[in-house]
Amino acid sequence: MTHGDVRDLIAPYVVGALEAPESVEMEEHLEGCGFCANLAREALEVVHCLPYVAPQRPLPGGALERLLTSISGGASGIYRTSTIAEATALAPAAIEARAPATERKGRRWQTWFRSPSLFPVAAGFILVAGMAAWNVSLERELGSERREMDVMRGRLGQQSHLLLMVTSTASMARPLQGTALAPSAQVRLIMDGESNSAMLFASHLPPLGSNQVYEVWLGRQGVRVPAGTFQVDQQGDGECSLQLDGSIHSYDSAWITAEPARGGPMPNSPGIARGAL
Amino acid sequence: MEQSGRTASPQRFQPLDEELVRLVAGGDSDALAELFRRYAGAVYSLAYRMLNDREGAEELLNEAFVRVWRQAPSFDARRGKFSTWLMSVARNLGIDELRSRRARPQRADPLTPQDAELDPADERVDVEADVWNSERRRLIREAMRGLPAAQREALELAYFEGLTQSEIATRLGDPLGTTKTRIRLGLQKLRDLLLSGELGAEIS
Ligand SMILES: [Zn+2]
Repeated sequence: MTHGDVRDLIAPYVVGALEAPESVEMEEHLEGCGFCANLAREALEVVHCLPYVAPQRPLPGGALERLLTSISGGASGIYRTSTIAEATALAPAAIEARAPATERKGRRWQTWFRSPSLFPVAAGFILVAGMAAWNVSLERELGSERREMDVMRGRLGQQSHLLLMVTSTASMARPLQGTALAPSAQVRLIMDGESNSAMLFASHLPPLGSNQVYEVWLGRQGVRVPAGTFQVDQQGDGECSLQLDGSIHSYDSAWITAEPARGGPMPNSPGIARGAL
Repeated sequence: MEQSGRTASPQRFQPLDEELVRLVAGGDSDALAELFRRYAGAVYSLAYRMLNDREGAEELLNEAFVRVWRQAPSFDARRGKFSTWLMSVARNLGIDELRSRRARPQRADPLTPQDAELDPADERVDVEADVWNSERRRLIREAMRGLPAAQREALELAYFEGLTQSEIATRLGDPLGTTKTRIRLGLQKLRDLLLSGELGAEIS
């Protein structure tokens, strides 16, 4: 198989639609070709979204009780005696084994668990984690310049806020609480350590006056740093890609305030929402 | 920031999936129940979509989580996140079950090919306690709707019914080349849609 052949077959390969012999050929190629393996990994990230295309069905009653009975050595289902092979990851090892970014994340999260009040919400960030991994591999394997990497990561943070929502091990979500000024506000700050980017998603904020914007502030050891401004629509929904002046891990809190248009270096009004990071 | 010791609304923070898996590996069935609470809806929905029958979907759901229980000690978070792994386990169980059904003449084909149109009614069913999962599902389905129907159908037949390209071509009465193109373009377009900012603007 040439690189070109492989590229044409990546999509059917990752959705599992190749005939077995072709699949084997693909795997052989991917094991020896970092470039095609990167393309395949990228395609696989999309495939990881497909389970969620299934229409939602309400869970049958008693499902959890049944599971707990099963694991305590009770009732067995058809799968206990069937010939179904042990399930393995859909993705071929050739692709999934290369995940340097994920590896680092794993270790970082481990240490976070030691702080019980700060358990991050598990947000499931397939795509961002994957793309960060892709970037890292690309850098290593194709020798991209670091500056180019930074630009790519920056673009990832700016453009693909949807990915942040969709995707997770590298990212985490923190809620901000609406204050008395905005009791029904729902605000989430999504932070991705790998790309050092963050997005804020707000719903049900009060309408702004003319020439006003909402401004996001990040706190670090008592100092508030302006991190971006945004408008809201008629439903009070808005979002903002945050500008960070340091590592995402260096901040300890976040606020939103209503400010004169263009924002400002210091907050001039009480907080609409706030939270610890 | 984790060292700050701030405790604002600690009840809003929940253990990560990977932490729960570690507890499950140590025999903690409460942690298993929590993972079940988070993902059973998604697994069951996937199973139902694949097998198109309630009993089979329940079996699959149970088996997928039995495997979580048994295989948690060997789960390696560095290789990917838990939900991806769980969904792969569920999907593989589904594919195996479909194959074995196809091999059983008495249950020749319990599956009717599902219309590739997405059922809008189910959007109202909020069976997943985890708001993140609901949101993710909504966004992904939104992106899927943006695909031309023929591309969506080809992708769904491959992913949910485990058909190969030539089986899909036969099923739809298309030339193999057409099917190949649809799968390739469909996946590419889906990726573009997921990445596109227009969708992001609809996040509520
Ligand atoms: Zn190649």
